[in-house]
Amino acid sequence: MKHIGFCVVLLLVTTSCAGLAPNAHHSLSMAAARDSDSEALAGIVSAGTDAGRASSSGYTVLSPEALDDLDQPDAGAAARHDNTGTDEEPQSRRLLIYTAHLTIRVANLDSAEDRFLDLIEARGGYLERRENNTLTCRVPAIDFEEVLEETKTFGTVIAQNREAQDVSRQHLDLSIRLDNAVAARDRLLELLEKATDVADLLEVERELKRLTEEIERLKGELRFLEGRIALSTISVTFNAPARITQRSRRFFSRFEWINRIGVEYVLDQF
Amino acid sequence: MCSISSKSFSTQVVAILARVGPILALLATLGGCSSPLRMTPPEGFLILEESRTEIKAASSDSILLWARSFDDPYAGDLDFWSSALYNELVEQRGYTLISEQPLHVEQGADHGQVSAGREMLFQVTTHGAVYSYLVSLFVAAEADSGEICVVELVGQGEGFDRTLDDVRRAIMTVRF
Repeated sequence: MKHIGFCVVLLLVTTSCAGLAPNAHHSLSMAAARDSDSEALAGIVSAGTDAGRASSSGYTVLSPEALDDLDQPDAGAAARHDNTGTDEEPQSRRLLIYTAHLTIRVANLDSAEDRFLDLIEARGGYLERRENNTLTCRVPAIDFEEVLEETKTFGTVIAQNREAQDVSRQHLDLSIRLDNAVAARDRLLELLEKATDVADLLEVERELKRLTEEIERLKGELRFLEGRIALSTISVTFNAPARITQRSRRFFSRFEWINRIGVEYVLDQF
Repeated sequence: MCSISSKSFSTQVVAILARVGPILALLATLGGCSSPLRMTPPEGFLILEESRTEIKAASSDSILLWARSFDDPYAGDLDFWSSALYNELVEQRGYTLISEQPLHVEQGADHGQVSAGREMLFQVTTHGAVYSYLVSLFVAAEADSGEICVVELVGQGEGFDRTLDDVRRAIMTVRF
């Protein structure tokens, strides 16, 4: 049973090396791997390394269902294989988070805000935050450009900026860490079935608990990141036109014909 | 004697007319160089007033269309007048520019000349409501005489948006 204990500790070393949270109190001589359970350990190490290689070669964003499926035995491996597009160009796998900010001068604040919210809703987005005349919305990334262009037609664009943050590496790291954690947990479950000593059982269960928490945390981070990728952020500040005071307003243009055009004049003359 | 002087008078009149006639005809021709303003309003618009220098039309839901031509003693070009118009409407009256684009229409008696134009779409809150305002500005290609044509469309909400495409097509029929 001591072998199982060695296996658990070595497993901790392996998962820590793979990017999981290291536990300082676990330390063991690597010689233990030569014992009878070394095959199981070798399998764990091999699984983690293979996962890393597979994830490195190509990946796509996992759906929430796929993330949930990682809990199932071998499902993680299946998901990894799904993400291993070997012939794709690196550019096509780039994962970007789009954000944009517009400042627009509009004739009427209320109607402009209503139009903007209608547009966002029609595209399947939602209002995330509203602060004075600034509306921050989330829209599906695929509609990002079109929403932005249509919003610009609401008035005069005073300022605009947009940003695309590349999170491919971050996503890849999280995926590898998740894969490794799931693989390690699966191996621990196998060891748990073989364990008979109470101390070993407790140690394996403690480590299983830690790994499960780690898996949930990594899945949460992946979900958050993928949510940011799937839904772009557009914030728009609507400005009312500068109020023309009597003092600053010229009463008449120097050019006679210009004095005879405009909404006020047209309404007056019809 | 009397008949002789009468004959002499008619001869003199004829002689004067013969001299002055071509000049009068030339003046009349020159005066008629400025073609009357013409535009075919879109379907659904009723012409309220029409003269050599203006066409006033309205739709049943109070969308107002007004085309006018103005003499331009300064003979300014399109850039100058576009800029003057923008400054007046945005800087002085608080209009919001929504979009702008270049336009071209034929003009003159034989429609052989092309006038450069500019369309600007604004919104403004006035009389307690939000109005959309489309103004198309054309400047005659021959700037010596200087002539400006302005077509304005005023309306509110969806009614304005509905007629916009038809009015834009009508504006391309402007001759002045």
